[in-house]
Amino acid sequence: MKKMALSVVLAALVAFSLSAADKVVLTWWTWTLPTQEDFVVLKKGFEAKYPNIELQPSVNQMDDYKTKLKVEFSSGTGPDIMSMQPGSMIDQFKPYLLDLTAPAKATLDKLEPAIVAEAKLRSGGDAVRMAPLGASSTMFVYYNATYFKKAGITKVPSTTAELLDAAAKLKKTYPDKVPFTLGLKDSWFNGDVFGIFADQVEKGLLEKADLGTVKFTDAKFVKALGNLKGLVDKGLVDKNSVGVAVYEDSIGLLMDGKAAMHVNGGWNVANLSSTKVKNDAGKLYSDRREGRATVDDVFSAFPLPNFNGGSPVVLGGIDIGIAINKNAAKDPAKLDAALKLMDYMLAGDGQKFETGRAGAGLIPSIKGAKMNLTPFVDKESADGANAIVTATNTMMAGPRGVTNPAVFTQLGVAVQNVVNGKDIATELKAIQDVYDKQM
Amino acid sequence: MFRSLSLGGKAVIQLILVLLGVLYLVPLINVVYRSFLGAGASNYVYLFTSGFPILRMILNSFLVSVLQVAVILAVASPAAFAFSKMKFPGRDAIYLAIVLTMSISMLCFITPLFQTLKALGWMNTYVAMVLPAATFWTPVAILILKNYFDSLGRELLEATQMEGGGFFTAWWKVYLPISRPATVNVIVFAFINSWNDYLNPLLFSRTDDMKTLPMAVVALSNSIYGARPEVVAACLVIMALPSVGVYLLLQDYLGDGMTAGSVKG
Amino acid sequence: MATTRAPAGAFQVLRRKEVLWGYGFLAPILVLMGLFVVYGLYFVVKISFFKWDGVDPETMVFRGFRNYVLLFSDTNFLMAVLNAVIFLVVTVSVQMFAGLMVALLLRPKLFGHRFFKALFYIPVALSTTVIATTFAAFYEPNFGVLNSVLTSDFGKTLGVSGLAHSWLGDPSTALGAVIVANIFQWMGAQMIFYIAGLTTISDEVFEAAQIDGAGFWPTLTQVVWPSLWPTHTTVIILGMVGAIKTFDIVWLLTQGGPGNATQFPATMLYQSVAQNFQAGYGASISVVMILLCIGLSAVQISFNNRKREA
Repeated sequence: MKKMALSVVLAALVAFSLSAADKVVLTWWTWTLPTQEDFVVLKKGFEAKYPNIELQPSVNQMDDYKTKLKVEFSSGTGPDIMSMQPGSMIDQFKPYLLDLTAPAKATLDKLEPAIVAEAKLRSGGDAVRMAPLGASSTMFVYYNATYFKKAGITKVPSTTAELLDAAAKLKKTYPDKVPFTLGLKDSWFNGDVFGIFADQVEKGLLEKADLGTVKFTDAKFVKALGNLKGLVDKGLVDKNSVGVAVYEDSIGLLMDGKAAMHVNGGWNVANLSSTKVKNDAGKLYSDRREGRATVDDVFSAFPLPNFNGGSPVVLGGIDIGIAINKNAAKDPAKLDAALKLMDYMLAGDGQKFETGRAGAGLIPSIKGAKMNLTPFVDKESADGANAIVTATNTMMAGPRGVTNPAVFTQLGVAVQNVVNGKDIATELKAIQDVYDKQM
Repeated sequence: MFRSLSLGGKAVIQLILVLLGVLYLVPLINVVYRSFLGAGASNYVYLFTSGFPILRMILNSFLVSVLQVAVILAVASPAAFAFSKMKFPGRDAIYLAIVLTMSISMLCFITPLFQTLKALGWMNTYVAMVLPAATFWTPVAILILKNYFDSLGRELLEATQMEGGGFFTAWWKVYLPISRPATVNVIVFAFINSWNDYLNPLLFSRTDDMKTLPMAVVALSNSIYGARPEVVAACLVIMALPSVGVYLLLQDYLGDGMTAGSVKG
Repeated sequence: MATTRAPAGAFQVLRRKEVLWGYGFLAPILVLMGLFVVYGLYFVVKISFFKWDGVDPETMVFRGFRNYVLLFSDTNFLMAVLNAVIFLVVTVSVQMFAGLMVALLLRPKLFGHRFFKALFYIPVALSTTVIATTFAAFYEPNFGVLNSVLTSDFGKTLGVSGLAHSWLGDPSTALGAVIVANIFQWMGAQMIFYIAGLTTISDEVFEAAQIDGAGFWPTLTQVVWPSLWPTHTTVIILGMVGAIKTFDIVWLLTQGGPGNATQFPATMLYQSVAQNFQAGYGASISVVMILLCIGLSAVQISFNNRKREA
């Protein structure tokens, strides 16, 4: 009996190794996205298209991911393909990554040039070491289009004046509702609020301060926080906002029909979905659309107007890039397979599945990219979804956040204090202090 | 000063108690009330069917709490016995050191704990959720149990030894069974403490499937699940039931523990 | 050599056995304490002299006492200490008064006293998450219970509708709002302390005072209050330790904000290490907190010992 079992196992092993020998095995390590469940679909689709390639994905926790990569690379191995994040991660691993400029040209040419340039900038500036799988950006005004219609707002606001006008009209039609809610309780959000007001004054201003070429005490930052203060004085931003969390206070106000406009990142695009359609699992595209007072309302979004005048900007960038291991690329068959996977994920069926999907919040980087509009039945919500894609791919002013997390925390503190009426110059000096002190 | 209370005095006291009671009752009832707002009981159904891993989190909470209690008892009872009934060099110094650490928050050791747990590969595992928190609560348990053993006297130990039993027999067969009232206190308060703990999962759980209930509430309202406030309230009710239930059921058996338990509060 | 001491042999064996078993019984706790507390203590003290992000051990840079210099010149830390002191004074005095009053009110065992005692203790048995979520909804500025009541017709009649504002978002009320939530949660614990403390005073003492013609307040201040000093001490010291350790209620309600208005040593520590990646700086906060906690525990222990001897 035992012998028989053993021989069956052996036979299976032989069969397996034989079939594996014919195939190019491609390992792809990532964190969080694509998820295990996503990979079931992606692997099936990719292997069906390229039967001689076997995809072996591994989804990690962010914590372990960097350590795992470090250990692998220091012993000279590593996965064939890996997901990369702009910033410290790619800075750390760029010596091991292949320059994609020439080998992946065909795929990169299909993408938005601005995002490819961003990928190059973030991977050292001298080479494209990651191809953008998906991007995201902030900040957008999500609004209840049903309320807008009733209040007689016919044009989507794109300037401060139009936004103030819309808020006034809403207040008149709905005296008991909050026209505009900006949740300023959370540090992670307030740092971005600071960034957007800064980059509205000058594109890339926050990044310059982060690099040390501009001081936080610069007049441009005074202007930026002055614009924020101006919104408080005009009553658009309520002083109470400092006690309102983005989740679930502020967004809850919008979804519960207690507010008409709410500020948040583009990753909330799924909330624009209609309750008339369901996904493959038979559920609504957004949990927040379920069982609320706004179940029959239509939602849409537009980029936060530029309060300094001029055209709107967004902050953000590549969420996840795909990189190829330099060593693995020495094997021509592997390189060919890796490039095929890259094209599949960035410009092929994999892209259609993974990015541009309402739930994942990843904005595709492909030229003329559109969201999959199935969940966005109403014209307003489809326009809103497309506005988020366009803004992400064309209005990017700089990355979210700064290198030193302590400085980022202090940016949020400054936002809260300015809204609460404290002196702008003092707050900016406090930021510069934290920047200089390097605790 | 109350034995010879007049009827009027009694009425005043009763009135104050009722008013204060309302002040405490309203927020508690309000949570339960809110959990049924809107969709009624389907808020609970939604909580369990929306794809949010609530069942896993309930299981995590039970598992982590039970394991913590087990570790605390297994470690604290023999130690308390040794501190109370046995003589060996350094005993009082070690006891003092342990009791002195009682008031230190686990948070103070956040960096070394991260380093140790990462090095041992325990981050985001049940081991990480059980061992450090249990260690930091054990001094309280030792204190409660030692005080009880102190009240028992050494005669039982000597009697056991006369019959040829060793120290282990004396603890396991004699002192542990007798110390049941104090042990029950430790079990109940260690359980409630662990069940309610927010810091522990905040520090050591990294993924939703390892979180315990206090983090579930945070995850529910901060995440893509985007739960309505009513669903969050339903989650609060589910989380409150075991700890309040255990307390209400056993309150008559909980004497000293109620004060000792709040040492950590 | 051992044979010369043969008569004492049996006892010697027993003694040695006792020592071995004693350490044996302590082995589990010593291992755990060694791993998490002793090593932890060594580690935080060490890295408090380094600049380090807490991630890669290779990036540690020795900087002597600079973290401590920065800490004691950091206005946020001084503010955090001040907040802890305010928190301590308000919490402890309100809780001592309320805890004692409720314990006194429950003493005559009037109708429903068991129910009330259980009710007041329930928040202690609840997770801080429950308390914080409830109070956050209560304080919510736009549609929260508190502001809704204040701006209702009832509130307008009383002339208090102007008080409605962002309770947790306004630096002048945020700390108070946190303290109220904390007192709500822990008053039941103080009540239990005082119920236990009051059992040491016999009814005769109360009656004697009344026969002397003393009313409620004189009885309370001259008889009850002084004889409860052991309980007061426990409540005060636990209050101090609580103020140093306070983390979850603050973190859940305000995260130390708005600005840094409700920063506490513990929230600053968490923010430094987990959010700002300043493990070295955070460790200097840890060391200060640990010293304070140990000091307070030592005071309490010595007090308890004196009480026992007395």
